[in-house]
Amino acid sequence: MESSHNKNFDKQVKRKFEDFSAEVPSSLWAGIEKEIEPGEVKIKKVFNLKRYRYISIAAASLIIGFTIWKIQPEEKIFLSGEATVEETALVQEPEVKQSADEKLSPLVVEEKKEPVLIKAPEPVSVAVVNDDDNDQRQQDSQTAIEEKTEEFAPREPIMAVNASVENDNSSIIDDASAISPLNKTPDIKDVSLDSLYQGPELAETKPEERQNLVSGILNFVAANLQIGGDRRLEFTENEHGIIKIGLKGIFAKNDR
Amino acid sequence: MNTESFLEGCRLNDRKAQEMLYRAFSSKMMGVCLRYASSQFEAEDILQMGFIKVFKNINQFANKGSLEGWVRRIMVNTAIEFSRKSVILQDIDAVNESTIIDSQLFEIDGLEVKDLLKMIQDLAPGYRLVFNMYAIEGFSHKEIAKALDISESASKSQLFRARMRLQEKIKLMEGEVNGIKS
Repeated sequence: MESSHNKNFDKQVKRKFEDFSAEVPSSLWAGIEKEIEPGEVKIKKVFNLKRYRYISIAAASLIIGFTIWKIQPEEKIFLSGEATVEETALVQEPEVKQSADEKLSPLVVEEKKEPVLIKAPEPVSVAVVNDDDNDQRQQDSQTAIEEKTEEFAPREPIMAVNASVENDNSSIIDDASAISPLNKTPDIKDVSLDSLYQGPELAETKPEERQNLVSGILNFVAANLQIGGDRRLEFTENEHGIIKIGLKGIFAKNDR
Repeated sequence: MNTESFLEGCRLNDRKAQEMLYRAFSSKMMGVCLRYASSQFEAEDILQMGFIKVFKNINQFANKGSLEGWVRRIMVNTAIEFSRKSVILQDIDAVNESTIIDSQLFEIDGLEVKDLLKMIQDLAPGYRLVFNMYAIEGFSHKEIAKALDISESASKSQLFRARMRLQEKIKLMEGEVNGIKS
């Protein structure tokens, strides 16, 4: 227990300081003002971010839209029917000419391919040289070459043509045509560009895939840019590749 | 001046209203800070920290008591927090309660506040802190022990020594004054 004297002493001291005040230097307020200032700036920054959110979304959408629009014409030429025929003609024509040249001058082809054909069987099978053996050797080598040709035919059809050329020039075309339709001696009139060109399959399937892909990417980007998760921009694409931006969500939000 | 007039402005972070609140209470709060500090500079530091807390937490004031009382509480808490960092109270031996003797009857009415303030500021930091908290702010030993993380007996011993020192100083001053007079 505190004694009455101690309590009295404490009371007297307390009473002395009850209305006590002291002078404050004028510079002190400036220091306090400086310290409480950063809080205001922070609040303003947050406010500005919210304010410009929609503008940044719109800007991003415009950039994406412009980029797609710039890419669009090239893809349209590839997808349309007329352009396909033109491209096919350009690609296939040199190939046809080359085949025709081969038919007209088979010797040139023979000279070119000869070293490749002889090298494979010869060092292994030949021991004694006479006419019969030579015939036999030719047959063996031809058999070996044919086997080799069959082996390589799926990957390298030109090898098959070269093998046939060594023994009988007249059989070049038949053998080659049996192995690969691409090396068949072409009659330009008979060549159907549509049948040679395999691209149109893509032209039939790709627009739908592309349609889903582009609009899907745009919708994904738009959904991720919007804080809060509500989708307000919706991109749709028609069969001609034209992209439409749906703004209904934005107006609906503003109505609230 | 009606404090309600600038309280709303302070809540809206209005600089003019904040300055008005500061001008209204700064002198009184400086008096509080000086009691806990050992110098004018320390007191200014405590005052600045206290007012920053006031402005940052002004929305927590519930209008139940007086604004001045709320600001004062913040100043006292800031001062305690400030002093606690520099004071090592555990090092001082606790005084047995039986050894605490009753102080003499003292009359300090004739003593100037500034002189008394100087005496308090000259006390050891631990003595000054506990004396302020117990004698002037009205904390109990239990509350002081909890706030300063010390034992209750340590708080009592600090208070006892603080009183003794103060009374010695008052006696010394009175003796000097009487000597000059005679």
